[in-house]
Amino acid sequence: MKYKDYAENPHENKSMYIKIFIFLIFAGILIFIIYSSFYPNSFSKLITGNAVKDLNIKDSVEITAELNSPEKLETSGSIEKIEIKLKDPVNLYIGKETIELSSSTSIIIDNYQGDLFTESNTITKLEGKTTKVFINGLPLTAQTKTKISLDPAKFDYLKLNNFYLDSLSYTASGKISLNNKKVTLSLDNERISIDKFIGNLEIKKSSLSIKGYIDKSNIQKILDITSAKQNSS
Amino acid sequence: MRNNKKGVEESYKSIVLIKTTNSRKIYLFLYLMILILIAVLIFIKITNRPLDTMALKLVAAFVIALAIATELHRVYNIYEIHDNSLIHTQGILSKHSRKIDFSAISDLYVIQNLWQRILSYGNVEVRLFSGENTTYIKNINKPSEFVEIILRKINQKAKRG
Repeated sequence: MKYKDYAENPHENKSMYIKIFIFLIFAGILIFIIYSSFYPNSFSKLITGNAVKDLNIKDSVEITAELNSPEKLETSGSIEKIEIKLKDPVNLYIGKETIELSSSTSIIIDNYQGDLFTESNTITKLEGKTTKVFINGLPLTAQTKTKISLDPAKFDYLKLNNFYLDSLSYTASGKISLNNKKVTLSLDNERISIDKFIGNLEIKKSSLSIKGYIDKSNIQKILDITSAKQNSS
Repeated sequence: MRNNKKGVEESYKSIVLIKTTNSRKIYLFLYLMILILIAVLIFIKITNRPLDTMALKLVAAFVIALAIATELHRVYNIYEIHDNSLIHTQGILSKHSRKIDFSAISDLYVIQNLWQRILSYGNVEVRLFSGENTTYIKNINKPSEFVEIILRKINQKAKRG
């Protein structure tokens, strides 16, 4: 057998198939990591059809909170429904169209996927895709997901339904209830960190309401505030 | 018959001058995949993006599986140079050994492509006077040195007569 035959023998072909197989697994894992990182809820939505189910019920705890609104809020991913009541006139861009919105306009965006950043009751960034938008109750629909963006806009009211928030950390005052109000904490200008939250969030003027689930691993962080309080008193 | 068997066993147990397996350089492609996955995980952590626990488990499983598979693949083929012979052992649990006496070797070829030359590894083709059952020593580090050692041993054996 000459070297040429050896190079072409079935063992070499088998080895090539194995390499391709391993590469495909690698590519699959890489795509999964990147996609799940940039669109945290998309995979769970594909599998379960519901973003709330992203957290395993055994590993999550119900949380409700009434706090002062945070200075900053940043979320990336999918939001089932965004409700906004504008304070000032602003431009909204849907696809290639520009819509001039007057003050007090209400906007509802369904099945939104993208970034949403707020700072001091101002939407600093809203850039993503959606299939349905309602402006003052009038629907604007598209067959496929269309790009949507909004110029920086002050708002009176903002509600995000069924979305994932990786982290929210700020100095808060108000009340937090955990596990069907079995544990209630009162905060007075204390640093709080809510991580891996899934549910609804509402900002009305200077108040923030949240209702949803957080990962069990974050409970200790929240409870540490009370122990710190007890130690200080 | 028994004496003959004993003699074979003894020759197999003779002093091993060199023992080599597949070079780890052939797995560079796989190690690169592991590095890319780890780099992506670090990037996600640094940029504070959410990291899916399932993704983390998949990466861990992939890395462990590759590490085990490459090491098992390495030890599957063992090449040993003894004082009078070259022994090629195949297998992990069940072993299959082939002993080639130096006096039976007619030619030795070092075969390296460009990539193998750059990384200093390659294959050695061992041809026998009988013209049958050519043995291929695949993907070993420094194949030229391996051949040099065999040639030196063949010459020594020839001088001894």
